[in-house]
Amino acid sequence: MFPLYEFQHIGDGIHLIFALIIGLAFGATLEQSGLGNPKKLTGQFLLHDMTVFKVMFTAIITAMTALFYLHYLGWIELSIIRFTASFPAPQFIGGLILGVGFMISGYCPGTAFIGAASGHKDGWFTIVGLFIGSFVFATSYTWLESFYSSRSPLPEFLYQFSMLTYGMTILIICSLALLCFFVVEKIENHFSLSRSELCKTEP
Amino acid sequence: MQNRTLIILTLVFLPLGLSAFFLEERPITDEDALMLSFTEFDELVEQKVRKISPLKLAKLLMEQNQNYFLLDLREAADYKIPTSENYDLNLIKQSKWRLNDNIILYSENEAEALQAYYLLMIRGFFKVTILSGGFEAWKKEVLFPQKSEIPAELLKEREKTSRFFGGELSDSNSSPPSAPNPIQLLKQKHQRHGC
Repeated sequence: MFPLYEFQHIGDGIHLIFALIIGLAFGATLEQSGLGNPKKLTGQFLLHDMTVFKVMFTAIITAMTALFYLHYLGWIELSIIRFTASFPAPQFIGGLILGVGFMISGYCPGTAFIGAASGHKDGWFTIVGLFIGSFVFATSYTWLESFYSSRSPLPEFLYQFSMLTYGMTILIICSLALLCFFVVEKIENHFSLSRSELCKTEP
Repeated sequence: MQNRTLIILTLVFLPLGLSAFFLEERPITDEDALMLSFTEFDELVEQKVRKISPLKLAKLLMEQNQNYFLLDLREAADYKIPTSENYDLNLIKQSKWRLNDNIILYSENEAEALQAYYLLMIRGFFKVTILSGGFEAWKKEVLFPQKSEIPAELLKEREKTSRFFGGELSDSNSSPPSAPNPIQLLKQKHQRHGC
């Protein structure tokens, strides 16, 4: 039964090999999706290239449905998997900071490594920024700690709201994702069209 | 995203979402049969029971290591090992710890702790440990150890441990009290936490 490491089916050394293989697969998938290209990433904010949204939302619904069905079949024990808890206020501020960095550099931390590996120099600069930011955060942690760990009284997961069941949440998120894919396709077409018209009119 | 991709995604995720809606997770009820082959049952019974010695547990507690749940399976008593929670076997079956949580069990001797050990192991918990010798051994080795049985170089340390939990070293000719003074232990805890 999964997770293999938590159930002690694999030892301390082997789990790192698994981590390496999964990391390589993750990087290769991001690269193949075009997320190593900063133009594609900034295109997300200019609304003419919604690749980031599509890739990430597809990944979310894939992982979500896979976990549900694997758990249903008894192949994975969800109670053992550590899910990140919801910390709405700090996650909102952290998201804003990440978003600003994303817009300026054209990379998020993961894609910066993909960009650097694909030969983009700006990827390396983003990685340096990433380490400086981590260092600043670590050194000011005692000052930030109370805000960093502030939680909301609301449930951590959508399915924990009393009117929702786990299966209902899956259906809602899947439907929402499909609807969003349809809408962002329209937005993307609209903005890339107006962008190409703008390019034509420029002398 | 091309229209074709969108159609494929819809064809995959919409049925999956719909069937998840109908395939609600069914809670385990008393009517569910436990399917265990003889081999699996033999393996479970024959595997070595994880045990922790009273002194090792005392060390964990003194280090304030909070990485476990300590469960007292005796009937409510005046004294219980600090940080432990009183549970009976029925409650054990309904509890919702994570399968990989460290759970340490103790009872008066080892009997009830072993019952709880198998109840938890059969439900998939795999980091369950019992206190070797039970509370009797805790009294004998941690709370009221006999001076004559302790090597001279360890005497101070053992006295410190014993006092920490509200006990004291006992002379070989005097019989140890049945339980430590709970007030004394309470005072000690009060000092530890400084509140």
